[in-house]
Amino acid sequence: MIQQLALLATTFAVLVCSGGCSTAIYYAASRAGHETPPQPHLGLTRDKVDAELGKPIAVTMLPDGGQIATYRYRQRDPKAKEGVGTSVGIHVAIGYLTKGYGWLLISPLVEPVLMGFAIHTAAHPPHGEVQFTFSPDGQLLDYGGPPSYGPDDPAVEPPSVGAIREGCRSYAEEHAYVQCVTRRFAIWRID
Amino acid sequence: MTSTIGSRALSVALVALLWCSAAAEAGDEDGKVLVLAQPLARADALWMAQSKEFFKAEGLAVSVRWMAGGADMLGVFGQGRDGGRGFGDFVVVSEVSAVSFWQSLHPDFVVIAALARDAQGYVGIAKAGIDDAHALGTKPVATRLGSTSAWLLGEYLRAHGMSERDVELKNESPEAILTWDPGAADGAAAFFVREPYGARALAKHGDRVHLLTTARGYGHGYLLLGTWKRYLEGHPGVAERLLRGLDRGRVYAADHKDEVVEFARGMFGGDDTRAVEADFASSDRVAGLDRITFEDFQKLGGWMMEAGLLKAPFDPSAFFDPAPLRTSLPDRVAPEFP
Repeated sequence: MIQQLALLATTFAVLVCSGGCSTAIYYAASRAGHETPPQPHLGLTRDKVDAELGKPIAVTMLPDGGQIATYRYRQRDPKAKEGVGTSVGIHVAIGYLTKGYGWLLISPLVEPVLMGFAIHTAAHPPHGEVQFTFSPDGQLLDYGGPPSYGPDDPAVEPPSVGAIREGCRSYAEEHAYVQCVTRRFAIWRID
Repeated sequence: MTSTIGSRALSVALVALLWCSAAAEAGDEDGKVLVLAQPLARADALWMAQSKEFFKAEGLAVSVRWMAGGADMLGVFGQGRDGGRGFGDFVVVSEVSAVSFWQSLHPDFVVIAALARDAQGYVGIAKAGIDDAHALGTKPVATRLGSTSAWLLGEYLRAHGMSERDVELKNESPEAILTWDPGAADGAAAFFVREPYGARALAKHGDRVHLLTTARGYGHGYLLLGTWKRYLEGHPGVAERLLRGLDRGRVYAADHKDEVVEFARGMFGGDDTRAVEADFASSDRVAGLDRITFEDFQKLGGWMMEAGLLKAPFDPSAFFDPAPLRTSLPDRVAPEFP
């Protein structure tokens, strides 16, 4: 009798554990990795960035003595998050459809299959790549590589209509005030 | 005995002298300097000073953070106004942006030198039949409002007795010149843009357009070297050494076009180096504060005042600080600069 009880208890424990195993694996996999590309603090040394992200997969020397380093990082896996729901859903459905008996009979058969999928998903997460520019003295200078060459003709923002009118109030004489406003409106193409 | 005391005194004096000069030159505890700059060949003095280690020879470890957009760059630089490190100790910036930044936002900002300027790189492209400034009267003229091109258009009009009120300005990006239809009756009569857009438009639109003018004789687009007053005070000697390195870079760049082009290819990518070569050819390397700079900024100050971008008349003595240049390269400062 005691042996039977022990066997029953062990079987139940194994079932509970195995039933949650795939879910636990999926859950752990869904929490691992970076949700957004990593952005270490600017100014960090190359050693510290390497310690955080691992060795770069490629390093390109720049003409100014700096470097562009490309890192591979683990991305957060949306499939693992879906897997948590799927795994729980399957076991709940088995229990619901069999009034609980299925947890003892069907779940132990299904769980190894689910675990296989969960292990595969956890072992093959998606990866992304990021590039960082390091200064000649090995400090993190910028995210990404240098911009492409391009003459820029930057423009400043126009003052508001209110600011234009206010700025012209220094002209006490009305004609001069109107001249000031119309000149500024013409420069900024304000009708 | 006397000679022993004398030699000891001489030794002490020598040590003191060496210590003092080292302290003055060191200024910055580790010689590290961060410069923010845009990827333009007009800054080739900076490129060559970096790659040929002219800064290193001056005892400086210079890093340059290259940024595509001038506004973003000044946004980052502005975050360091209270002395926080990592936001740039110096910035290489265009003239309209620099004056606007100084006047509207950060009066602690000063310009210590003009690195380079360019007049040939700013062009007016007009459709066939528009042969002078007066032919633009009442017609649509496209440019990016608030830019260097818009300022130089204003100078061009003023030089011909006109103003922005005599034409119908249209706010267009430089790229718009490539989709311009010069034959359209209600389209722009001319574009005032920065190269290489003018050259591209001439190639694309053929004899339907022509080069109306360059900015030569009207003004220049500048690249300026700016910093904070408190940085100059807190890091004596650094700006002087930076300027000496830049001047060596300026001389080297002027004589080594191939290396400048190669630097651009290696640093900024792309195999088409025509834009770099055009900018190299039209740049006037200054590394100083000369009379032309003074005159151009008088004009710019006048235009920005007219545009409502300045609250008070432009004051060169507050905007420029020629002291570091006067110490390191005294012959590069015109007497006009206070």
